[in-house]
Amino acid sequence: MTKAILSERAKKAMKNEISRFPYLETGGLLLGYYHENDDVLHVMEATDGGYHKVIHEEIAFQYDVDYVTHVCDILIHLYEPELQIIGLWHKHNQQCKVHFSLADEKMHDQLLEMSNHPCLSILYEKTAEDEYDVLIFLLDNNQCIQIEE
Amino acid sequence: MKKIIKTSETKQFSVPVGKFHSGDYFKCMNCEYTVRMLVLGNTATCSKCGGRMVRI
Repeated sequence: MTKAILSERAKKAMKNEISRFPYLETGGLLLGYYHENDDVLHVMEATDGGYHKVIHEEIAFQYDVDYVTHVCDILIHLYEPELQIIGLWHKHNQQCKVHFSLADEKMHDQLLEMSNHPCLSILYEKTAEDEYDVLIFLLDNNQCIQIEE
Repeated sequence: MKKIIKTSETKQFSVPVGKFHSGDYFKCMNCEYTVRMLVLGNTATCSKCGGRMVRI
C-alpha cells in the first residue's frame, strides 16, 4: 500500500493558508516525489491558490492557474532532483460522509491523467468545534482510497 | 565582477483546471427545489416536500 509523508514545511503552508480563510474554501497543489521502490509519496511543498484570479467561496474554490503554474515552476527547480506535481489539497467548511463532489473528482481525474504515478488529495474538513480533520486520499487507477500519513 | 547564470531548459508541465465544490446540484422532481449537497449516489430525498431528488 502506498504511503504518504508530509514535510513540516508543506503542513505549515497549508495551515497558514487555511488560517487566512477560516470561513471560505481554499487549497492548492502538492509538490514532491513518488518513490517507486518504497511506494511512498513524499510531499515537500504545498502551494496556496493565488491572490488575483482565485475564487474563495463558502462552498467552492478555484485556484489561479497562471499563479500556481508559476509558483510550481519556481518550487520545482529549487530541488534536485526536480519536484513533481503529486497532488491537490483543499478544505471544506463542514464534515460529510461523502468527502468529494463530482467537481472534486474531475480535478482528481485530470491530475491522474497528467501523472504517470499515484497522487494524493488532501482534504481539510472543518469540525463543529472549528478545528480541522486532515484526510489523506490516495488517487491511483481511478480509485480514491483514504490512507494514513 | 560578472556572474554568469546558466539557463536551463524548463520542463513544460500543466496543472488541473477547474473548480472544487463541496457538493453537487440536486433537483426535486416533485417541487423543483434545487440545492447543492454532498450525497453518495445520484438520488436523495427532498427536504422541502419529501420528493425524489436527482443529481443534475
